[in-house]
Amino acid sequence: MSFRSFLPGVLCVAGLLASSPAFATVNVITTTQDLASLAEAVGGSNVKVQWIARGDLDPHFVDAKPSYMLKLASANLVISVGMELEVGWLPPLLSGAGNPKVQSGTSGYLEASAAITPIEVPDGTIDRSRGDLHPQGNPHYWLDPENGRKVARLIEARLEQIDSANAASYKSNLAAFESALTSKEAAWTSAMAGMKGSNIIGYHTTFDYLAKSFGLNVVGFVEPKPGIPPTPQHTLDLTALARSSNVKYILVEPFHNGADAGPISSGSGAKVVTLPSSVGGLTGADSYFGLFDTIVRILTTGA
Amino acid sequence: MRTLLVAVLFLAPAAVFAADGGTGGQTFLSAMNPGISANGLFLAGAELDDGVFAKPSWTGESASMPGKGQTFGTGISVQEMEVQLTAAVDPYFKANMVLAIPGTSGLELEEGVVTVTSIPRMQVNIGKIKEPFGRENVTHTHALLTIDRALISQRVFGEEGLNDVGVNVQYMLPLPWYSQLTLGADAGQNDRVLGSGDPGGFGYLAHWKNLLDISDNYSAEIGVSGLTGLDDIGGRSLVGGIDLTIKGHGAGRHQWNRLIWQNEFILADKGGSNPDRTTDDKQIGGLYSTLEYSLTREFWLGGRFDMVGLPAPVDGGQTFGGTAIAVIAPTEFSSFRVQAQRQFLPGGHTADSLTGQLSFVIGVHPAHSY
Repeated sequence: MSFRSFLPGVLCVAGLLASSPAFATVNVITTTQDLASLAEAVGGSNVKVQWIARGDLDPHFVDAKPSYMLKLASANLVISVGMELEVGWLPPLLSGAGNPKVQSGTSGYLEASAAITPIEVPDGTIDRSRGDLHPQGNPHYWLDPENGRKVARLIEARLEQIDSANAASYKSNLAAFESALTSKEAAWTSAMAGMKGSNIIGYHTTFDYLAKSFGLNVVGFVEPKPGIPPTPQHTLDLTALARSSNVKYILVEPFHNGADAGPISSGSGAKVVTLPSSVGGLTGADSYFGLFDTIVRILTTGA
Repeated sequence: MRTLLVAVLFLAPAAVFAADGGTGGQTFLSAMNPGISANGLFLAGAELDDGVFAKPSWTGESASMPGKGQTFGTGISVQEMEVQLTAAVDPYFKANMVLAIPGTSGLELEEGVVTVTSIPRMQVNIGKIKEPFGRENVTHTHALLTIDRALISQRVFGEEGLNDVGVNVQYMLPLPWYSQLTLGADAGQNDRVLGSGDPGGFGYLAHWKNLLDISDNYSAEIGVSGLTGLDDIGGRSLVGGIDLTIKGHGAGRHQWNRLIWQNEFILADKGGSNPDRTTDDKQIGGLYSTLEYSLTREFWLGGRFDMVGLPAPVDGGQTFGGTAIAVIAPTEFSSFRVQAQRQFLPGGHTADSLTGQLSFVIGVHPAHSY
């Protein structure tokens, strides 16, 4: 039997393998727990979702553990935040995973930031004298619930693309998620009405999307520049600003040291509160909805 | 010419960026540019050999005491400058190139690797490679905990480590834990253990790396390495190594309380049964153990214990070393280290050093190594 007689069969098999495959379960790996929660909501029982960065840890600094490569090696879809949030650790993980299906530029790799309109895109000369800037803008966009909606839609579209056999299920799950989100947003907005217009200070730029979404004014940051630890002079200046601006809260992520904000608090009367910045960041923030439930509860009660 | 090349490498991205108006948007040309970064290491220190100030090692007049490792002498120096270029070549390959200037002159290719990325669970690396023998050998100087490399690594492979032209294949084994097997061949040019000068005198390397998650926050890495090839007098060298690393950190804000405990034992038998080989450098064995603990995100402390001459004495005895280091890193792009070291050498000699190092990185965000 000649090679030519084999060729049509080989091409047919290759064509079948290259076409949209039907998965028993789509193996989804997300970089953060927030994206995992959204992927679970949209994917439902058709997906198995695992995540890399735990919600109580700084997503800028994640150990590129080889055991994560093991997860990525068997992934059908990798979803990242993008905007260089994971620039220090995701590229070596993807490279080491040896999984051609989920490399950047393939249908198995999705940067969720493609769905949103970023804020705080730096202008002028961008260099590290301005701190650890993200050239494409503030990457903490999942803390605006409307961005959660947009990301969920993007994930649904990609799941449809790579697992078209379950498209109807993904559409249905997305509709249910959006309906629930709309109801939740109404409740959160109502609960936060009394906070609207309040002045706050952030440790990092993490909560800027949250503030924009709920009408809070961020008047300053504990960090003098993104990623730069507080200096004594900056702390003094910020304390004076907090006092003159009647700042209500200083918002600190679970992975930052609230003690850094202590002098500002004691000098101004602003209260230091630890807010979860991601799903899994604090007890109760165990889903995307739970994250905002927890944030709203802490901001409205102060504890 | 070398100066011109370095200048061009630095200025090329700047020129593209300027043409872009500096707004952060990418032109096609800048998008196609490799990721470019550079790092520099500056040293200042003082060294005492048997209580007497040593001459600066970079003048080439450093005292050559037996068992002594890399020395910095007394004075101020540039330890190393590196330029790194990284990019995907196409959907099938990526490339990484590291050009190094050790000291203030001379440009050398520290690494130049093309990696095949399109084979499931497998990477094929071709080029000049920091070869995966243990943990320390693959680590660039600026990423070490201590300013210098472990004494046993320097004695077995030299100051540059095992870094040769070759090819290796890394395969992720289908096991429940992360387990990677590397098999490779190089040109056999490491002049400490190989260096036969024979075009057919390849060096052959194997490394088996295993990583186990002990808990959510702690992991253990266990590796076994082996190298064989012909040495400069035609005998067969055999080098073996085992390594164990425990890494971890706390949860929440204690994420910055990081702990790294790294250990390696290396045993090199050079020249096999070749009778021309003298006893003293036929077999060299030893170990090191480093411990690093970050008190905060910006400040960490560490130390290293060295022992050379295990199981058999080297240079007439055993060498012990103790190193203490403090590191202040204002950001992940700059750090300042102060290191105090004492070596106890055969024959009752001692070598003491106090060294400061300033390290900086510019350019694309460096990947966080594990």
